[in-house]
Amino acid sequence: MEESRSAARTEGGGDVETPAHHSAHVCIDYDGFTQDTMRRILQYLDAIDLSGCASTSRAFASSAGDASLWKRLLLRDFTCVADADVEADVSHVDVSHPRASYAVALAARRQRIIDARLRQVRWRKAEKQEAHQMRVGTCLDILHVRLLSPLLCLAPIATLLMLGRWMDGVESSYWIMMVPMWTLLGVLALASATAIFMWVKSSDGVSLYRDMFRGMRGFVWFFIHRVFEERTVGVLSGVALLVLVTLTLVLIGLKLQEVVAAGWFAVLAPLWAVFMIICLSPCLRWSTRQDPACYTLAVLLCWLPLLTTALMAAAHLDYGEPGLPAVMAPLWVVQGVCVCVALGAYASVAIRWLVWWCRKRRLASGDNRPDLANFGHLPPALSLSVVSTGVIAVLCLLMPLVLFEVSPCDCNLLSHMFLLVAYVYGNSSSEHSGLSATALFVPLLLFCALFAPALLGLAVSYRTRHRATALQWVENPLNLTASFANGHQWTPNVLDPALMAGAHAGAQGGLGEDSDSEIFDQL
Amino acid sequence: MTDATAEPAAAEAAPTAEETRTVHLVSQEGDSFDVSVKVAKMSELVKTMLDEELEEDAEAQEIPLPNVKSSVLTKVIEFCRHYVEDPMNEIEKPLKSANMQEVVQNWFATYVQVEQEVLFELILAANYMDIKPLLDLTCATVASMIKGKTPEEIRKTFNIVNDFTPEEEAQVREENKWCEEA
Repeated sequence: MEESRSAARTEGGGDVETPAHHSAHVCIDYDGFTQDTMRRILQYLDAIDLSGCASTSRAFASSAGDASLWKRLLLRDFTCVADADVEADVSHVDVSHPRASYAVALAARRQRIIDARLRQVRWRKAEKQEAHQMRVGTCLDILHVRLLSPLLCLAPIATLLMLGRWMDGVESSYWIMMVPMWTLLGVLALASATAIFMWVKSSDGVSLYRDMFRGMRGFVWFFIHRVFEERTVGVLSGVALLVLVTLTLVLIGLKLQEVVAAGWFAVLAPLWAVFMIICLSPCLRWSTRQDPACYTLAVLLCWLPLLTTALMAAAHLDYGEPGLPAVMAPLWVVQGVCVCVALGAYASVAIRWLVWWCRKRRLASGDNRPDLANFGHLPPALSLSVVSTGVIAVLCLLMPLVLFEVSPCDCNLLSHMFLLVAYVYGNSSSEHSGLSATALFVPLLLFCALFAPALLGLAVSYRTRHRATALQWVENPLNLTASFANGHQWTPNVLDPALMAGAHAGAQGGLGEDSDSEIFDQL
Repeated sequence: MTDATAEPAAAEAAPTAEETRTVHLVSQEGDSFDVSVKVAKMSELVKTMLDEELEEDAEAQEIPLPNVKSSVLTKVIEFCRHYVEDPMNEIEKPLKSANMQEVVQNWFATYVQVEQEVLFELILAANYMDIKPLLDLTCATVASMIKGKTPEEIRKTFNIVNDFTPEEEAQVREENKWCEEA
């Protein structure tokens, strides 16, 4: 600063004829100047030049330390006193150490300026960040809700339609036939990747994307948040499941196109891995709310029958044994159990309602005798809830089968269920079914179509829930303190804790009765 | 050495008694300078020494100024005469610029472009004769020579010897650290 000031002075003096006094090196007798004259000279200087003067020599230091000079500067620079009043006698100004006080006041002013600039910078940055957050949020909405939700119902419908055409010989390529599924899996992969990114970033205390993961909605968010419980092993399991399912479909395609000569056991290898992940990873345990009973039910009613069926189906396709009825037997057992459990759940609910109704009637009639029929504890609430939710799923699963059963054909339900496998495997089952493949899938299409309105409605009516978090930090500085205390709150990157600490320390300074040196030490 | 140049008379207004009446300012060397009372009265010292009772046609009064050299007195009278005709602007405190031409009118800025020794003698003379505008101008000029300079540059400009002990210098530097950060 000093150098620039000197340079400015040199440039400023360029227009003037070279002053004679600049080149003079005559030893001046400053003793000739009275203290008053020196004060007159120095009063034309600002604080910085006055301090520079004080560093020149003892005599100058003495003159530059004159209290009246610094009082005048204090009045001029830090008060609203008019210049004329400043020029008046300043002896009435009651400041013990005017020079040190000036330094304190200057430091405080500097800090205020720094704070103001910091705030301005923070505000601008926060505005940009908020705009960025909103853009990202909109993109996430489109991907996770407006695109993925319809795809979840439309892709299976389209796939079933194209599968029917493929089986009827209209469509020749397996890969084209599976385009809807590829699209769904691709969008799912993209949504999962973004969701995982947001999840990882949301745990970063200074992340721009903090709290945005919470604002996300949709199926991917649901699985990461609820099923995988936002744990690394869970999320990795989810990713592995997605990849393996995709790989399974690809390998099936390669096998059907006779590109791969391996047996079905080998082709379905990713599927076995899927089963192992579901069983071994904590996902299934988490998704059953850590309840051993639910977990056991899920394993016995879902995992085990499906695995058995898949293994037997692979054996059937490879070796022709066991027969299709045996392959489907586990699923039928599951369906039977589900029907029983569903009926049992309905019965328990009905009994509970009946008991409640009877008790209400008796109390209304003033009969305080004990219950004639004490049913004791009905099935635990947990079992009820599981079964009640199971009922809905079972009914949905049964519906296509029921439709198959009532369909005008001369074959039994099992042959319908295995029509697809038999068709692809080269067994021309259509000859005795009397149904085209497309017609065969009508019940499943209806099943998928049931969900379509709900999912399409969600995609259309969804309202953005992303919260803007950037500006609130600037608007409410108290949050900064909270953020430092908690250590995990989001804070703009421009904040420098050291600078903030310095700002607080500077604000605590005051004009006390300490000596100049002590005050300067505090500075 | 007498300044014989006539005062520029007002073209239209009739000259007042102060303008027509003169005094003799006598320098340290004994040289007499004939100036109008109006100009001489810029010095508070002269003003107090002037005898106001004198008749208009009386002989010009002699004012001895034993502390002022003839060369310096010439410069002082030059300043006073010009100031009477064209008063100097008030000099702002602190100085906004180290260039005096940006602070006062060109004539005054040029007036103080003199040797340092002369400048300091002018300060002493202005102080002795109590001529406030001249004292302000010369003091501001010295301040302008300090403004924006580092302590070392100030020492070089004024040929000042650094008489601080190393300990004192360190202390002074420490005390002025806040200023460097500003």
